[in-house]
Amino acid sequence: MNDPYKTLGVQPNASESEIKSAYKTLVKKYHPDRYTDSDMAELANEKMTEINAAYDRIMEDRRQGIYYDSSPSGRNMSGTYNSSSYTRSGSSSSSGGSGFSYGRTGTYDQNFNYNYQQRNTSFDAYRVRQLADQGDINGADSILMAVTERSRNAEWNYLKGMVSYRRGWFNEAYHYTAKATQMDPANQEYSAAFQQMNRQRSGYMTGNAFTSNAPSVRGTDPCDIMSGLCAADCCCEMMGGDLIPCC
Amino acid sequence: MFGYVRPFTPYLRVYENELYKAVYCGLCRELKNSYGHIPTLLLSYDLAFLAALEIGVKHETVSADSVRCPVHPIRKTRCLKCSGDSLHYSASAEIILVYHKLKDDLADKGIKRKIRAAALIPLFYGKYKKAASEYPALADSVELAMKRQRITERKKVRSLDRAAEPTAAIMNAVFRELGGCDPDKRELFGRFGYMLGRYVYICDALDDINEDYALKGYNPLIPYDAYKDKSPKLSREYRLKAVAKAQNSLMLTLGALAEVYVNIDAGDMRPLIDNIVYLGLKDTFSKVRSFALDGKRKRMKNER
Repeated sequence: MNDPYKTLGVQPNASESEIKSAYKTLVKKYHPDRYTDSDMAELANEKMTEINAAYDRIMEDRRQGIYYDSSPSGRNMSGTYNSSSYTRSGSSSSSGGSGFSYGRTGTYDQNFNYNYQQRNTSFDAYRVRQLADQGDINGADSILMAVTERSRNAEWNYLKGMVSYRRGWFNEAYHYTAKATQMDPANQEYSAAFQQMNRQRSGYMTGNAFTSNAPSVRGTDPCDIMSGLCAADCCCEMMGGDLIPCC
Repeated sequence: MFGYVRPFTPYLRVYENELYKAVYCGLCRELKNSYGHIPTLLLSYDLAFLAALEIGVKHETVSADSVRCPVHPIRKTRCLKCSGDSLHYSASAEIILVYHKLKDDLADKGIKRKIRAAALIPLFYGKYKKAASEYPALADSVELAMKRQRITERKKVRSLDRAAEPTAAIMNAVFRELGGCDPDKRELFGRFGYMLGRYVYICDALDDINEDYALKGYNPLIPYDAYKDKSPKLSREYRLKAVAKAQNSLMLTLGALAEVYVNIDAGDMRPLIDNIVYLGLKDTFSKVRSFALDGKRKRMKNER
């Protein structure tokens, strides 16, 4: 596979919105539906496949690829993974090889190391949120990982949890969010996130219409019996009688 | 793709059940027409889910005809046809996934699986090339993910998140294609696939704990200490721990899957897909869980 950044005609350090707009422009240009001539349509189809592949590859790299083999504390191994992966794909251009995608995190690292060597007690939380919203998970994570272990406060844990959640790594996300709420129990944002995860952990699924109005095929559980008794007691009391004398 | 994605049949309406069977039959026929008889023997339910979802999402019109097939020589079955190339995409995805799975089996599974893989790979090679030339992006992603899978297994990664990553990435690549040429939709379906891949990985890992332990193989759900025991069977304490770990992770995954799923318009297939997403996945997991707790080497995926 060729250098995916070249296929889309963007710089390796382009932002996600730039990549998306470049992709959209190319889709408009090459969409097979635009061509009535069958030969041209086939050519456009091939081009579309190539564009889609390049887009998917870039997105995958930005989401996980670079971080994949690294240990949680350091990313020294990511270089090795990258060079082997891209030698395989056979791109030997100046921006290919181990260079192109690793170089991008490289720039982040330089910037942030520079900043955090001076004041590594705090970090730019706003920037982390911004990058995470833009979908640049690796960018957000690299800011967080540059913070020294001692100065990782509740907000750091919350943001790390959020980044892990976006990545789809829910065990990590749960761990960090729990830690954030533990460190700062008064913060509503953290506890709301933690509550939502706990709800999911107990089996809640958004939009599930089956639990509430579907008939139950399982037998009655003690909970049902108790609430039934309570209701029956209330009814009896309303009519002047009493089913359960103690309440 | 191991057959963990299937509906909870007691809650399927009769027509939904027929539709589901017809999709499976249609997919099998498409596979036979495009790639020959052999791959149809390895067709899994997960691909029927993919086909059904794509038909729904792309609002393709479907029709069914009655056919006889070698599996049911006596009675005729309803077999689905669709207006678009959804069935063809699922069939090609099946070929790509099976080929890489076989190559993986050849590399590190037990002797029985190795022989099976060695016998099947030459038969699949040509078919794989054909499918890969049609969907090069998918073939490329799956190849990369399988490479990562081998690295994960070699390193014996403890984190379930990291261990699940390659399978999730494969399913991400498989489902992305449903988004067509819209970048946001590609991301949406990719994320849906990612969650489903995580689900499949966790189910498979839990399903395998007893066998992996007996063969002293790697499994992210078995702690290192467990291997120090000399007993041939994984102790109940470790089995309970593994189940708890898997369940925690799985429920979080399904919660996130539902968050993504509510943004997907599955069209006419919605009732069927709803059943699979909200009921089928949990039901399959609870079966896997009871097999794992049992401690026998029998596995849920071998039950039909």
